[in-house]
Amino acid sequence: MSEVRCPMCGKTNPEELENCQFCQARLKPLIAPSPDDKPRRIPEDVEKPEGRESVEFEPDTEIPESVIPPSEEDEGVPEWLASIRTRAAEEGFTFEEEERAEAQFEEGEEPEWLTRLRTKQGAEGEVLVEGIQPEEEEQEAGYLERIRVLRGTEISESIEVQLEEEKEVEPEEESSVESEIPEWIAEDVDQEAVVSEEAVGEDYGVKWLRGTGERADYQISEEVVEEELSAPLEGTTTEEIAVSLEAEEEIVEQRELPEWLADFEEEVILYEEEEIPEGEVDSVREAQEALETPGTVREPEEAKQAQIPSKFSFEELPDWLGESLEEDVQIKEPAEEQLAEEEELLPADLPTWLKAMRPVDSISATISDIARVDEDVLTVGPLAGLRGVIPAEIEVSKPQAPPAYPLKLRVSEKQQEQAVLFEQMIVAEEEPKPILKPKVGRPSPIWRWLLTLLLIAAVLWPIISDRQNISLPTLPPAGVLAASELISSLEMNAKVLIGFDYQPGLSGELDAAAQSAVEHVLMRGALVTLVSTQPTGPALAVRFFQDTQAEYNYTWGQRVVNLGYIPGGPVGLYNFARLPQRAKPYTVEGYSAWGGEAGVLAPLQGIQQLSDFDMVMVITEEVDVARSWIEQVQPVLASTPLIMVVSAQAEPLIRPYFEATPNQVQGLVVGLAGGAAFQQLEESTGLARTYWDSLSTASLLAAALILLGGLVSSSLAIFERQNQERRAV
Amino acid sequence: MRRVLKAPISTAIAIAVGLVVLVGYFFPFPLLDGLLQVALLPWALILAAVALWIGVLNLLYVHWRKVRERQKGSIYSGVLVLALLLTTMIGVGLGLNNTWAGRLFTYVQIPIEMSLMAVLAVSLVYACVRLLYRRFNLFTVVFALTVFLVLLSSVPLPFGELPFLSDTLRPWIAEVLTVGGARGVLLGVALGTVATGLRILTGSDRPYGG
Amino acid sequence: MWGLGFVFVFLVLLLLFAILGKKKKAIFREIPAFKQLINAIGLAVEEGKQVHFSLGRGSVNGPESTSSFIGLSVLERIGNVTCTSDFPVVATTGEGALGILTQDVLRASFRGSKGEYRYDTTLAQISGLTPFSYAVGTMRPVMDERVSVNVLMGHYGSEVAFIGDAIGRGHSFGLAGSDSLVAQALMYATVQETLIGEEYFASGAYLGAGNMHLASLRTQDVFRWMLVLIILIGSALKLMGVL
Repeated sequence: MSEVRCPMCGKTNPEELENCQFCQARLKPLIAPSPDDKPRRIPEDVEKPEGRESVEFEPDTEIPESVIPPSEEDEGVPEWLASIRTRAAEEGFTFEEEERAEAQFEEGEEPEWLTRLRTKQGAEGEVLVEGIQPEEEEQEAGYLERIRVLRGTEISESIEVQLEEEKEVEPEEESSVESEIPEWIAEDVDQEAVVSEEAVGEDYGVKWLRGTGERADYQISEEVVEEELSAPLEGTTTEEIAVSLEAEEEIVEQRELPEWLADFEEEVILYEEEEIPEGEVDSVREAQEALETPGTVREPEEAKQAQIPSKFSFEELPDWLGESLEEDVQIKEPAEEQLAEEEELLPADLPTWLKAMRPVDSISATISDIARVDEDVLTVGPLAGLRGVIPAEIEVSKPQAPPAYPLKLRVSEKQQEQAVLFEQMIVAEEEPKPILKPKVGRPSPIWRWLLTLLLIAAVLWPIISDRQNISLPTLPPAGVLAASELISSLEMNAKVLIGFDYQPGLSGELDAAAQSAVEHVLMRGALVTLVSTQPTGPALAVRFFQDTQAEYNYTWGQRVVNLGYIPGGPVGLYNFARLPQRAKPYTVEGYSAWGGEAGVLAPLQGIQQLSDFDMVMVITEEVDVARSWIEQVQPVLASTPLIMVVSAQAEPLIRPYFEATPNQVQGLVVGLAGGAAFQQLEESTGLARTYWDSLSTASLLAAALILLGGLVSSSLAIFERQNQERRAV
Repeated sequence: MRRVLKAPISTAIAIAVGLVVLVGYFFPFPLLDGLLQVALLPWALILAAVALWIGVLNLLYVHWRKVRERQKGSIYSGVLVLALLLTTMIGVGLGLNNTWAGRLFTYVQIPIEMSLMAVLAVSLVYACVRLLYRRFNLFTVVFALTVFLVLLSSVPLPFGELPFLSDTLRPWIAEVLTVGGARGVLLGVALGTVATGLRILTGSDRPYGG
Repeated sequence: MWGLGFVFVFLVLLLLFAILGKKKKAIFREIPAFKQLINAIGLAVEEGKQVHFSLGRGSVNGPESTSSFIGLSVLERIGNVTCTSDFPVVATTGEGALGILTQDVLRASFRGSKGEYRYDTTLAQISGLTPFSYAVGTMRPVMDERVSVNVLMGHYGSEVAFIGDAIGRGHSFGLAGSDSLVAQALMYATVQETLIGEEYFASGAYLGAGNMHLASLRTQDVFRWMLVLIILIGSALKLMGVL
């Protein structure tokens, strides 16, 4: 069993452990090598961006297989991946399209993630070591410019600086400043914020100079920067600012450094013994200025040429190196002034051929290397404080912000069609649909009022004119005849039970229908007991007797007894039919009906059960009430006759009980017509006669209105239906 | 726990009472008849009477709440509450045969209900006319034609009875068609009544919320 | 004894169909009124409208109690659907005992949906204790602007014409059914959709109230055909002079 030594604490651990069992440091790095120990596959566009050389990443540690993503050539392609491929092929999405898209991407439309990756790799010098891309150049130039301005703000009063001395130091400072990039500047560079010249106003620049913390644009044109720089300087040392703009810029660069920058300067010297030649720096600046000049967009190739310093003269290079460079780059001849300046400034410590081997592009790599060295200082563990130690936790395992991928999708035409279809479906769903409500017609109030007025006029006309021209029925119906005969057969002081079971609203019809029948009962000298299964029945009975039978001088409690309301409907009737004394022991007035101090009331004397009554009469408009009397009471009546005075609306359902053999209802008076017939039979006068003419005219008018209105309505309905059909066609 | 017990107990009581009444109807045993007469019928009547009071109280509560919350039309509810309290005071305090109670009934309730009945006549005529426009089909035409013929043949006419309509057609419609149709409908209603009663007896329908 | 035999056979068939009905899917003839009712209730719930349910004025201990119980069954179904909406069903009755049962049924619906705290006693109100006062009291919720569906199921008399007329004058959908023939005639003239005859007793089955409702519908069909045969045979025998 092999063991692994912990890079942090140095103690041995079993090989299968991922973390050190003593200090918990990771033993196995998270970099995944390919199964066949081949170098990790990097996408082509990352490996070789536009003919640049790249450094292949070679993992030096073994990575667990679980972390290794399977390559496309692997036999064990997962099912989901295979299905995606199959589907892609079905939908017409070919990898040629993907390649085309990649080629397009290589032509310059780089996704953001790749740009970031390149920037990062370039900074770390692991993958991209050669050349600075135009964007990077912009970034470099930007923060170089910014540092210059920053330094300018630090200097306040003494501008008397010896230019000659400072010029010698300048390259060092330049490099040191560039290597010491504060984090906030680096962030700004990454963000690539572009502020147009118009957007950067004077206030903006002033704020920035005052150090208010506002973000400055590192792509501001030099004129703007110079203007802004001159403002504070004028305010402090007016006389000494007689130097040219160029000299002023250099002076600004040589001003006193802040503490943090000064410390760093010393530190850089420790590591960077070599001075960067001024010519190189100038050439970088030149390229940078060219980039920053508005309206001049250089092609990448031109920019590349501009990056090459004048030092790269093929005459000074060895043959072998000159040839190789000749193939790759085209050299632009530097200006004569520039060359002269270079000759003055260069310390020329290094041999020319060695300097030539250090291309300008590698400056950035050098700077980033220095930055990396600074970053590589270990802060934890026994090696804390040392630089250059291979970290136990590699970069991959460190928390990083997720890369922002572009939202541009690569989809096939078919997918696009499907997406359009799907979108149409969604839009169709979102559209409000008219709710199909059931058709409800609203009646017109005008017609209603017209009908009302006509009917009222028809009812009132016979009353107002006091004409009773329409004759009463000459031939009484069979039910009226039977009822009349039964009443006529009553003896003096016969006991009659009358149920007042109708609603006050129908009292107009039923009072008239029952008037003659009840009058006939009273005329025969019968004693009457009143009950009701309706709450309003007792009061209605009192009113009926007061209004229609007052001439008979009856006395409540003597000839007429009102037992009142029987609750419970049919159940109450059933109970009353079998045990009347228990069901209704008191009268409405509160007297004991069946044997109090005054004894049993006259109408109830001798009554033990309902069959002891000589006749039962029920006045009702409701079929169910009539049926309750027939079904619950009639069976216990034995030979006692049951007479029904009912509304016209109940006739069809009650008549069968009268016409059946044997009949359960022995007499039947129906509605106003029945009351009029009874009245005609008894040769008396009453409500039926009064209402008869009004009933006639109103009913006739109603029939006519129904006929005419019906014809009009039918015509309208047919017309509308035809219209609808026509519209539908 | 109370809810868990409530449903089975109420269901059991409902089923038991229904069975007692049903069996007592078909088999008039003295014991069952006594139980019916002594216990169940008085209970049913008391329940009916109390239910009437509960109805009155519910009516009062609903309209009182409308008045208190000033809902739409609360003025009518206020009138109802006042009328209810006034009528109750007169009816209970002075008795039903009192003159004031009689006047209230005669001059308030009866005219109101009779007026409603009169309005109903107008509404029905208008509804019958509109019916042909609203739902024009064969059944509606038959319905309206029957109404017209029966109305015309039932009422006294100024020019006397119509020869065929009054003595033949109208009786035939009223006594044959109407009664025959009504019998058929009533048979269906009776079957439905039996079915509903048996569903309640078996406890599958619980209108008492158990 | 004939009556007892009738009831016994009816009960046996009812239970038999209830057992068999679990295995066999019921096929109904189409009654447009129920279809429209279901649509109208769905629309009411979606539109934030209210359903008004009138149970009539039938008592619970008379022959009209059947009609009231049918109404309660349908109310339970509608209550279950609407009790979770903003405006639950409001029910009106014209009889005290029926009012108590109505409150109980609605409370059970709310309880079933775990929302008993939302139950309000005014959702089940007694709007009048006499036929006409009930009709007039019911017209108020019928014509309420929030109400878009009116269901009349119970026992009525001629006063139902008032309620039907109010539905027609309003802007709502109306469905009416009753055991009363007079009420059926008036409903036909005034209300949009009317249930005629035994259609009213089939309400529970059409609205999915349970297997027993389906079974009772099948049993009623069996007995209806038996009655038709008996009437025809009896008439023939009477004509032949045998009876």
